[in-house]
Order: sequence, then C-alpha cells, then structure tokens
Amino acid sequence: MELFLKGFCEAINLLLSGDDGVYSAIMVSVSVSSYSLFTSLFLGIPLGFCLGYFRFPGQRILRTIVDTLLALPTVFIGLMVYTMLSRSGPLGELGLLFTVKAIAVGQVILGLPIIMALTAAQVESLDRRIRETLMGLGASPRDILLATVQEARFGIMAAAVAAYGRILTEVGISMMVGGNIKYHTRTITTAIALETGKGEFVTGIALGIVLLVIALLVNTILSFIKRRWQ
Amino acid sequence: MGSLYRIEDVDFHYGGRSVLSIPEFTLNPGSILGVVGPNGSGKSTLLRLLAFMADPAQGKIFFKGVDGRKITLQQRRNITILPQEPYLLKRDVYENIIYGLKIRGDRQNLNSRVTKVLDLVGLPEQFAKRSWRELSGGEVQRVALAARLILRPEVLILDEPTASVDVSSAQSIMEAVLYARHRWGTTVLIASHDHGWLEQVCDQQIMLLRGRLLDEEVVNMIPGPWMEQADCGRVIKRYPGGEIITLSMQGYNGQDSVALLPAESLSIQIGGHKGINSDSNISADNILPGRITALRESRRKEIFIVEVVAAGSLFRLRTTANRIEIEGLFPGRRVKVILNCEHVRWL
Repeated sequence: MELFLKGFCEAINLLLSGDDGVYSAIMVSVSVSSYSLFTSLFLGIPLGFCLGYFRFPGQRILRTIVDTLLALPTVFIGLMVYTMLSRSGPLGELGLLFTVKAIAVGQVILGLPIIMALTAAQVESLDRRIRETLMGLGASPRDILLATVQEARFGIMAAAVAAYGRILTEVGISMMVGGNIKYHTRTITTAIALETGKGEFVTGIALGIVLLVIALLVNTILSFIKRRWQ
Repeated sequence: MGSLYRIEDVDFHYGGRSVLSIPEFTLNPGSILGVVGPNGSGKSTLLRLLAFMADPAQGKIFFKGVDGRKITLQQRRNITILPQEPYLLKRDVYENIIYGLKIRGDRQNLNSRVTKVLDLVGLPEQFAKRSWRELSGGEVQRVALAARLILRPEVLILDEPTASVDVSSAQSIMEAVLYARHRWGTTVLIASHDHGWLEQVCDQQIMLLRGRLLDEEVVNMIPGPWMEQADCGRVIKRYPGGEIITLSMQGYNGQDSVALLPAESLSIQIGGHKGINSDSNISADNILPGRITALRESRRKEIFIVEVVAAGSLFRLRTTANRIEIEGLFPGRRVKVILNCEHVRWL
C-alpha cells in the first residue's frame, strides 16, 4: 500500500516537474494510440457494419475469424509486424521499424478486430423494424444505411472505448516494433516495463497512474458526448 | 376520375405458400379504406404491397397508372406507411418527426410544421424536446403518425394504428386521419381489428380472409371444425353449450373450412317474435341464444350495426334506427340469432 501511495505522490511530482522523458512518453502514447484508434475506426466501422448488416456466403466463417482475432496477443502482433518490417522482411524497404508508424501499424491490427466485431454485434442487435420504418418514410438505401449506423452509435462508441483501452495499454507491439527509444518511440507502457526492470517500482507505478488518468479523461469525454447524443 | 391503385391478379408467397391472392381491386383517390380480417388473413401483406415495400410474386399493382415495379423513389415518397409497431429513431421527438422531410431535402419552417403536426395528433408543442425513451406506447404511435403527417402524403397507410393505444389516442389518430383527407386529399388505407373505430373513420371496408378478398362490408365468419353429414349434404358445428349450426355442404372445403355469412343472412328474434332480417325458411338448428353487446353507427346513412354474442361467438347484423326503436335492440338485451344458411359461402 505504501508503494502505491509513494507512486501516487511520485506521479504528481513527475507531472509537476515537467520531466521531458515523462512528457515525451505521454505524448507518444496519446498521439500514436489516437492515430491508431482513428484508423481502426475508419476501416473497422464500415467493415463491421457490412459484417453485421448484410448476408453473404462465408459470413459466419468471417465472423468467427474476426471474433478469434479479438484474442490476438500483442506480442504476437509485434512479432508479425517486426517480421514484415525488418530489413529482410517484405516491407523492410519502407524503413518503418523502430518508428512510431510501426507501432501504429501494429496497434491498428490490434484495434481493427475489436471495432469490427463490436460494430457487427451492435448492428446485428439493432431492431429489425428500422429498415421497414425508414422505407415507409421514403428513405433511399443510402439513407437507410446512414440512419442505421447512427442508430448503432452507442455500440460503436463502446467499441471505440474498448479498442482505445486495449491500444493505449498494450506493451508488446510498442516494445517489439518501437524499440523503446527515449524521446522517440518510448510510450508510457514501455517506460513502465523499463522502470520496473530497473527496479524503479515507484516511477513505474507513477507512470501507470498517469495512464489511468488519461483513460479516465477519454472515458469522461466519451460519456459526455453520449449524454449529449441521447 | 382515374383510380389511384389498381391490382391485377396479384399473388404473394411466403415460404412457398400463397398468403395473398387478389384477382382485381381498384381504389379511388381521396377515399378512406378499411381492411379487416382475422390475424394472418394477409392485411399487413396487402398494405406492404400497396406501400411498394415488397413485390408480388405474380401480378401487378399500378399506382396512378404506373406499374409498381417501375415506380421511382420520388413516386414512392408520395406513399407513407405507419407499421403496426412503429420504430422511433434514438433521437428526440423533433428529430423523429422531421426525418422524412430531411431526407427529402425540405428544411423550411420546420419548427412551426412540427408544432402543427404535434397538435394534429393531440400532443403539446413541448413534446418535441422529449427523448424517444421517455414515451409511452400511445405516444410513440402518435409521434410516428406525426412523422408521417408532416410529409402531407398522397397516400397514408396505417397498419393496426389503434392496436396498442388508449381511447384518447385512438380518437386523436382518427381526427388526424380525417384532417389529412379533408385538408390534403390524402387517401388513407387502414388495417384494424377495431371494427367500431373503422366504422367511424372509413368510407368503405374490405375484408380479407386467408389471403382472399371478400366484397361484403360485414361478413360473419364461423370457423370449424365441422362434422360432415354427407347423406343429407350438410355439415354441422356443435358449440360447447349444445347449440348447433347446420349448413349446406355446397362449396365446403373440409372440416377446417370457414363459413361466411353476410350480415343480411342473419336475423334477430326477440321474445318469440322475429325481428330484423326475419326469414321464414330457417332450419330449427340455426337459432342461437345470445345478448346484444354493441350498437354502432355505420357510415352508411341511417344504417346501424348490431353486435350479438351468441354461443361464445360474435355475430354482426345490419339494421335501421327505426327498427332499433321499435324492437328495442339495445345492448344488454337477450335475443336469439337466426342463421339463414342459404347464402353461406365457404373458404
């Protein structure tokens, strides 16, 4: 308990002291995870919508694959992306390894199945009367699609929150393809791993608390938006 | 005046089974048509076809002379349907009401138009700010109707609009429907089990039974099972109370057939004297003791509908105001219903 209290005080000190290393890690974490989330949403919402809304051959198999990908270990994603981006890999020429872009690629692979699976589940659970009601009001197929996505907005927001939580807190991808380079690719989670390895538990806990505060802020903003939309 | 709708040899299948078959039907603009019939008779299917939300397996439906299969989105937007259980978008009442206008790109004077239609369905202006989750069943129905009335549709189709609403909501819906027809010349099609409500609002009624259209406005249905007496060419239905109905087998389709008797085939006997629609050529079996349960005014001038519950079934007959006075045909009165089986038809 004493360790946590010390960690809490240290977290406040770290934030107030304006430590460059800490602020750099926070900025990298927030920027790369936000970028990854938006990319996952951009790709995942339409794909998840199609998966839940339309009926096509192989849909069940695809759904099972997407659901299975929810359990992808971040270290495995890191390994796959590393293999692809390493100098001898098929995308080695891009020179992305040990950059924030490489972390973003891995995090999109992590976030995409979450957005797709949860969006598909939400669309499937929507009231089947929506289509008939909208058609009865003279809606075109495009109007029906747009309105249906809008009806699923709370579920999509929940998917975004879940994906953001997973992306922000992952360590395997950032460590393997980012390389934990200070002021460059070091994120809060890789910094925690490093500090813990050095035996600096208090700093590790302090950084963990910072991570929680960021998650709290994001959820508060989303919850505010949700209330406004209702 | 050209017909608004024309149906030609329409057949609709569901799961390989024909659920609606209408050889011919026309509807003139500006009329209010009631569609009655038991559950599963094809009422909702007919309304969906007339809203062009589904295509018939066979046959054609013409809307203002245009084949339904070639109808454009713009033409379809002249027709709006209120489903039996309307769905409200997860937005406030205002957004729900203006949705149809927004997709048509019409954004003029939205506030005043919303206030006007809310008033039409008997809801106050402040209601516009309410969330979809704060509405009762009757309010959902009225908001959904308001969302259709704001479009000033050429055709308004209502599927069981009073099924889950209270008396005051049903009254508001009726007034709104009559207003739409009066002010905008809207043609209204209504499917309902509420015969009394339909009688007050509709110009004409059609009856559907097992997907077939019956032309009589008031038809009494007597479901099976029937016992056959092939030697004398008759079938018998025996009620739990011991009452017996004997009908001719002509046109009979099996023990689960439904016998159809027009209102004119029934008469009422009071205190041993024959009353309305009396006929001397009646089988002794076809006399059922019962009680008058309702008396309703038909839209046909000076014609009233008498409802009698006899042997646990509802029978409906037509009569005049004069006969009601003379015979004392008021609700609560014990009577005998006499069935004349000469006009029986089978389904």
